[in-house]
Amino acid sequence: MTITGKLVLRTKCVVLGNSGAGKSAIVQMFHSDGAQYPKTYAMTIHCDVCVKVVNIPDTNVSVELFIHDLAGYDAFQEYWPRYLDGATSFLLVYDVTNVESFKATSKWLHLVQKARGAKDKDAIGPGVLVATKIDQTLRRAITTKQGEELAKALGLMYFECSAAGNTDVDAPFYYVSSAFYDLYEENLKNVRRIAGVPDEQPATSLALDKLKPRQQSGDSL
Amino acid sequence: MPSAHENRALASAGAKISMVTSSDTSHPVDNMIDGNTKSFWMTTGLFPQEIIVSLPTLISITKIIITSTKVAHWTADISMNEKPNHFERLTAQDVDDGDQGFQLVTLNLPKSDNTARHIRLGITKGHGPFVSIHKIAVYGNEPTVPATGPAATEE
Ligand SMILES: Nc1nc2c(ncn2[C@@H]2O[C@H](COP(=O)(O)OP(=O)(O)OP(=O)(O)O)[C@@H](O)[C@H]2O)c(=O)[nH]1
Ligand SMILES: [Mg+2]
Repeated sequence: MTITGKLVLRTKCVVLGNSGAGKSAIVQMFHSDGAQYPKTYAMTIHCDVCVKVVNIPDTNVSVELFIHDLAGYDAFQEYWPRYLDGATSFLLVYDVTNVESFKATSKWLHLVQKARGAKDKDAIGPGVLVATKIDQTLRRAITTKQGEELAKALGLMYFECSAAGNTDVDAPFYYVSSAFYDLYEENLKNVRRIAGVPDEQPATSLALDKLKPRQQSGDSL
Repeated sequence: MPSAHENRALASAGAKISMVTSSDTSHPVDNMIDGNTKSFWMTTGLFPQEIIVSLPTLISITKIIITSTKVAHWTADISMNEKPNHFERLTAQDVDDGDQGFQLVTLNLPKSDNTARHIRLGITKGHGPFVSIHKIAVYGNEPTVPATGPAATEE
């Protein structure tokens, strides 16, 4: 039995929202650790994929985010369900200077719900609502309060950020990673219950468990 | 000589897992072939996932039963070769969610002869982000040496 103890979780994380909302800017800033802000708009074609590893603090767990930066332009509509297929986390993005993008969020969430097959609400995993371009204070049309209310209505966590200002871009990705790990732990508990194993770790992992700081689900990060 | 009612996919009898596509050291792959449904292997995210079970000898398979949670679709391919290659499709089937309990799935064996050394199991979809496999049981006989010459009979 090896006690290397490194656990790598993987999630297909879809970033969706209206065209021009600022999805690619967020993804590229996060992926490049703040080095790459796309100043000129280059419309995403179909879907761009990149991978980023997030280490969960105080654990031996890392989450590989397979980020799918979806094209929001309507011409790609017929492909959206395909790119959402198998997603287990998502960021739903709107632009605080653009009312249309704010209003469209329920349409996008509906797509996510359809992809998850409605049967199992946990099947798609954690999701967040992201308000971006908050550097545009003068042109801002949607307030923080409106954003928070929408998030509450949609049942999502609320985040706001600015890719241009490199402000809080990482937070929604960290949250999703941590929530995905919580989901894994929860799933593990459930599987143990089904298998009739006491909630203690099975014998094979006792040693590993001792090395690991006690992690209660729900309070990581 | 083991009987047809014996599980051939047991680590204790020389079976092994040759390949898996995800690993959590707390839930090692051999948990699937220890004959015990309490211990398990769990995927760590994403689909598809694959498992190759290598039997100790060639077996003419009569039954494959898998104990799992949250699997939505199984595929199975078999290979007769010494090395796990040149697989042929055995079955592809949807699985209902076990909700609060185990899924106990008997794979369809459409052909009359399902002789194999290796079984490649694929999970292309789950009812949740993670699936767990608790036991893979494979039943069958060691194949009789193929008759040579005119003695071969049609059924
Ligand atoms: N001021 C400001 N502009 C931004 C910000 N993020 C993105 N932009 C600009 O908004 C425009 C669209 O950004 P993208 O990230 O390409 O938009 P998108 O959501 O990926 O659009 P599609 O690929 O068509 O779906 C670009 O011109 C960006 O420079 C931001 O935080 N602040
Ligand atoms: Mg884009």
